[in-house]
Amino acid sequence: MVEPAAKGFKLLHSSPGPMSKESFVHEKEDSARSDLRDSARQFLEFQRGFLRRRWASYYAIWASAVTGYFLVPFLLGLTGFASLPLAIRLLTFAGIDLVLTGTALAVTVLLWGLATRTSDVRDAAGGRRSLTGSRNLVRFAITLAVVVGAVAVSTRSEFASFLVGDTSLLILSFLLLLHLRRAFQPIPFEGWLAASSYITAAAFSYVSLLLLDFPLGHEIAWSAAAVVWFGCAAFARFGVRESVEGS
Amino acid sequence: MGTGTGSVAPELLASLGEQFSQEELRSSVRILIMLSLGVNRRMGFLALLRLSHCAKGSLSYHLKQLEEAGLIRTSTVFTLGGPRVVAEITDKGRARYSGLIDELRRLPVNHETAEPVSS
Repeated sequence: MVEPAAKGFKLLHSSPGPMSKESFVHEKEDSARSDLRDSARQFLEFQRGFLRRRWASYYAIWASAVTGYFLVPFLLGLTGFASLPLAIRLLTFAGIDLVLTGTALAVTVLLWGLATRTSDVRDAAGGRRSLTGSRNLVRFAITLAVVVGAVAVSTRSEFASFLVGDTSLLILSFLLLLHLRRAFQPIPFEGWLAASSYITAAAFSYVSLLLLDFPLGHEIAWSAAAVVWFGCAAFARFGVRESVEGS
Repeated sequence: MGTGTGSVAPELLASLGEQFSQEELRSSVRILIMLSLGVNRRMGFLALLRLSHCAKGSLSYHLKQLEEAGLIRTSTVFTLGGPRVVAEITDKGRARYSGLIDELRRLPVNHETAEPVSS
């Protein structure tokens, strides 16, 4: 591996002849700037593949969580669980949801931190902050989702828990888009697919619950989204050509 | 600063000189490792090999230099795939990483291409 900095400094320190202060300063300047710039560029190229592979765990954990929200109550219903007192059943469901959501959120926080730090390097290398417009758009989308969710819950309170869940996952998908933008420029294929499948599922679920009075639509929509997310996870983990091994 | 003219302010130059006069960062590979560990916090030896395109011995040498400077720590972890060497950035390393990012931010940039200006 060529090491421009090391070579540059060896040359500087071993020069037999007198070196003017100006040429010394210029050589030092060029070497330092060149190294830092090249290293940042090389790092960002590598980081794209590295992050895509890491992002696979994000898709997988949320797909597992959504699957768990629907599948676990269904599986428990097949056992003698329904004969237990209501309080125990509710506590069990709440506990399961808490564990699934907590695990997914922990992975989310880790990955979003990684995306933010990658974005810091990219911004520093590019000399600008490029996400102001995206942040405003996401703020607007989240505000809109909260308002629509609140109105929906107040009008159809019998579906309140479903609608709150839809709204939360919709907000999450907007935040996902923002962090995908931070981590990758441009956003990879599976990122677009994951975010759009969540937004579509939320929209389909809203329509099913509010307009069609068809609660099963909610489960169909989110199950389909979970399948897409498992696919995104598999693609990000195994299908990305620039992926790296071992971390 | 950041005008795209390629000129560098004296204070930036002094700061760059200070950063690069330290033995542990007198190598583009070590700068690369520091940037990567600064962002990812913890990376495996294999990932660092892919990142740096170094030979194993060369990468070990660079990691040792950084570890002796207290910027990173290495350890062996046991995974299903066997034992693996991982490198992790230390608090001192994070401070040095922040310094590198500050320097990078202060380098002049060609705003048309969003690329740092060539010297």
